[in-house]
Amino acid sequence: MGTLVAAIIVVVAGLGLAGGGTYLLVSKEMPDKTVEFENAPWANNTNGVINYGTP
Amino acid sequence: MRLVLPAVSAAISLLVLIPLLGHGFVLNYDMVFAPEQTLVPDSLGLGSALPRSVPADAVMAWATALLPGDIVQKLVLLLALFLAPLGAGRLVPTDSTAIRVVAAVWYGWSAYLAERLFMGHWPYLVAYACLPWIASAGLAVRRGEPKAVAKLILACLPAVITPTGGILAAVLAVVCAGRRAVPVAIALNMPWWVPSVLRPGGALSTPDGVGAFAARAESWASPVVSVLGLGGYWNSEAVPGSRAMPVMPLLTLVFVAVALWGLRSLASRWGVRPARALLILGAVGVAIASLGAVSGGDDVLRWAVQHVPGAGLLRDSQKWVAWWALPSALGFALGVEAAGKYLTNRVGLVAVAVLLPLVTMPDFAWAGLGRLRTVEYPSDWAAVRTVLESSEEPGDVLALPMSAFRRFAWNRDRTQLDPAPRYLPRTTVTDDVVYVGGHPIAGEDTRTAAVRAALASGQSLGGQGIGWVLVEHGTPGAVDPSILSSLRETWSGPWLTLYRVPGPIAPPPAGAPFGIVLAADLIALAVGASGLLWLLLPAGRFRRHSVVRTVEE
Repeated sequence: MGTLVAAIIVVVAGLGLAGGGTYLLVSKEMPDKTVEFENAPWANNTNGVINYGTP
Repeated sequence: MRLVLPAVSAAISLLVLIPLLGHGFVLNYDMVFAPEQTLVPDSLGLGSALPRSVPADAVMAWATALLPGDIVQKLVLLLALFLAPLGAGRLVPTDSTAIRVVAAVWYGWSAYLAERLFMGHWPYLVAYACLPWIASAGLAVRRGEPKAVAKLILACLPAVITPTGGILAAVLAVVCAGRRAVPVAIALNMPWWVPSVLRPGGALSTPDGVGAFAARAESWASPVVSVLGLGGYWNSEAVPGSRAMPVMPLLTLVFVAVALWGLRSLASRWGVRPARALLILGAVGVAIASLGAVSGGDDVLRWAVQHVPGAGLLRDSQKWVAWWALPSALGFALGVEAAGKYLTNRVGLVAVAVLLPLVTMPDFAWAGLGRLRTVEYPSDWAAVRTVLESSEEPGDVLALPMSAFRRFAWNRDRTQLDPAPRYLPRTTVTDDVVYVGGHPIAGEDTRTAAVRAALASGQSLGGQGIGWVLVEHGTPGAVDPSILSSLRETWSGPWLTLYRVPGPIAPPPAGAPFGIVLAADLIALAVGASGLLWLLLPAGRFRRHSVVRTVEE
């Protein structure tokens, strides 16, 4: 039973490392070069309102 | 080997906070520190606003009188992120340092800490860091160890600086220590609940925020799964990107399964009652945290917020999942220990268990990979503070534009709470309406509503006790020129302009009764000081010696 749990932990850890790294570096965090960061408008501002956050 | 756990805890703290140790302040969402904070009535809950940051503001006024505000901020964050994993590691009932390290890393590298840090909820970080120490002292009280009550008081003390932290600490203390902790919990929390109860406008909140502040799904699974993984914070802007990884729900379920498996051995080591109580408290934390996100639960919350004073604390309900953080980290570590008995490569198992939180949430490191940075306040702020300090003219300050939050270019356009109430030496009125996804959520401050009405109708601000108007430049929101035309400009710079309101200035509206609130503060202080003295002075020894003498006689 313990070996099985340990094996599952190891496999899932490997999946997490590989999948997470791939997702973060390749997909999720890829910069959008079309955005002009220096002169970008207020990111979450509409009509002079500052959002506390976005659900 | 004794140094391994402190070293790992320090490494975790530094891995997150090193970029923030330079000169300046971290100003992000709700996190506002100022070079020198003044003790104003709102710091003690004596103003018109709900005492959400009471007595934290009073504590900061005292702390920044001793040290510069940016140093205080760094110390608070460093200690919170150091003491959280250290406390969890020490709490694990095991002889294995490696297993303690597993618990420390899982507790100290959690989504809860990351999301609350990115949202600027530093008092929650402090409370989270106190929880393992409270549990340890509470268990000592249950065992009847000497000076355990004093240790419990000191462990709770940093957590009770806000209502949320106070409740997190008080309930855990009672769960671990039993009924003996009830008087301590009530007394230490008096600085915020007494002014809340006595506040003239009551402590009811608008139900608008229940849906907006409900836990959210961070990936393809339900919000409950995100909450079980100690995440699910409502604001997607404050959530590390790695929390959206498709594999995260599977990891969370494995984590929960191993934790529950490991928790079975906790009962034999701690005793059934405290172990069961801690697990039930964790389940309650998950249930409350998920309540706003499940069908029917949001209706219950809406009703409670509208009809039960103080139930507004349940709106951002995900914060209560902190109660699940401790049993889950302990259980996971004990589960790894149990699994290791069946494996030949125990080192590999422990290594994987330790590294798993870090590799699955790498964007907690380095202040969220650059998400947080230190900045300096423009010199305008110090200049305005000096003007207000040196002036003997009466009146509080109104900050314009009417908005609770600011976005300044000098802070890289980060959304940040208006720093004026904490930077300026007088009570400062700001808007208490917050916008979530563009939708307004009304506040509870009756004075702000009256000031807003006076601005709209062109009445004198002096009638609301406002003697000064601070206009903050370079942040979204407009200021009606007709408001300023009747005011006298006193000081102006590129970021701030200060105006004097002409004419008579009425006294500010009455808050909670000063004498009773002060008495409540003194009782809490006395309990805290007694705990400290009981530990430092040889009082306990006198008591033991007298008992021994009596027995001999």
